[in-house]
Amino acid sequence: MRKKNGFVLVETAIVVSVLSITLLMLYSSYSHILRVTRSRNTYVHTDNIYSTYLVKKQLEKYNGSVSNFVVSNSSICKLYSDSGISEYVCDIANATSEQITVPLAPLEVDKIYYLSPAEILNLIESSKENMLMHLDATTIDYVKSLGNTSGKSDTGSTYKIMIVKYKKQYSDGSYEILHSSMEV
Amino acid sequence: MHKYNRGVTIVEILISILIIAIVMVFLYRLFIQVRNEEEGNAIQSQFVIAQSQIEQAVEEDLVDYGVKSIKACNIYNVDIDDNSIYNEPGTNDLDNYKCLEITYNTPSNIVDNTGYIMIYKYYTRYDNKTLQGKDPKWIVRYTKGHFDVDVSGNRTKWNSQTQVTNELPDELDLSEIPYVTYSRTPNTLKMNDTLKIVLPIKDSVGLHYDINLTIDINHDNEFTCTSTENSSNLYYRLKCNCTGDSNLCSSSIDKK
Repeated sequence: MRKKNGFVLVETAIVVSVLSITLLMLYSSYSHILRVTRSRNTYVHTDNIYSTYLVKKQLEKYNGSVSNFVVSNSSICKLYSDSGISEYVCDIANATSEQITVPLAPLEVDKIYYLSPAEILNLIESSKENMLMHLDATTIDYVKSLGNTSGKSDTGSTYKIMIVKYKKQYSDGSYEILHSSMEV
Repeated sequence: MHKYNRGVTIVEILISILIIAIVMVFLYRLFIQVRNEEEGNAIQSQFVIAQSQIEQAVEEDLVDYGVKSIKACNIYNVDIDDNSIYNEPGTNDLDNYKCLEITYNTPSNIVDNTGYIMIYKYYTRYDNKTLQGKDPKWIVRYTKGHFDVDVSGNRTKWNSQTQVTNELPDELDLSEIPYVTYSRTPNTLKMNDTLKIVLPIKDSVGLHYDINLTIDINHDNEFTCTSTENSSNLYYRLKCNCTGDSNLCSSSIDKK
């Protein structure tokens, strides 16, 4: 009977190779996850924070508050509701009122949303989809990234926030979509 | 009689070496890819940090004082030691240098009313024997203060109150000219006007890391933007875009 003790060279080499490949692939995945996380952390650029604050100031100057603005300007802001939850979508870029569009034009505001992510994301699936379908695809991603606790106080009551969608045009014709939000 | 199976045949050795070599090539490619990703992350972070810090510094002053005028400037006329500015013959880096002068609406008792945002290349060190500059690097800098003026009205010395400096990666594209976009509406409308200053910065693959500054302009305050978009000096170009009332716009743009 032939005894077999230990490993042959080939077996050892193969095992070491497989382990090395696995470890390197894990590391590259880890690096990718880190990069995605960092890009999400810089999703709201510094300049957008100031721009969003200016948008809030302008709407308050125009109508007293952001909620008054969205309610009073039905030609610009559309109301959508489901299961007692409401959201407003204001198309600023295509608005006809120069009183609104001219001062906001330098800020490159495309749309303004007035909604509570907590209210919408905690709806049952069909109602949630019904509410999200009125938002742009990039805005849906942004609302989901805010999470289902955004627009919800510690006591459990919900409130609406203002989300501004910017469309930055570049000289080569390309553009970049950015979002920023603020409690109002 | 027992047959002893000790040792390794030459075929086994050759096959194992071949397999190890193939695996090592694959691993090396993966290693290079991971290293390149990390370098890309570091460059991206450097851009974002520089962009954010400059924006924050300038926005503080814009919010505190408001803006009175904006124009392009020549970095050789600001407070920098001319010998530290990289300017090698045969290169066109000087054409890409950027300089914006912002005059703030400061109260009369505050003399530090001028801010400069500059992007240029500077020597990070000097050779002790030849005093030649070495290791040029791109830098973005914001400084706010005031010039001392002599009896003839000539600027003599720069007094800096605020200074923020960040190095930028070498992979830089500054081919686009800075621009200012603002609105001018009549006093009868309820809204304030807004202003946006953009200093375009791109990396080597075309991703934008522009310095964007926004502020509102009170109707009571005058504002002037000096347009030099057709200047023969590329570094001196600034574009002013005004939307709204045409009379107010034309009176606020100073074309040179």
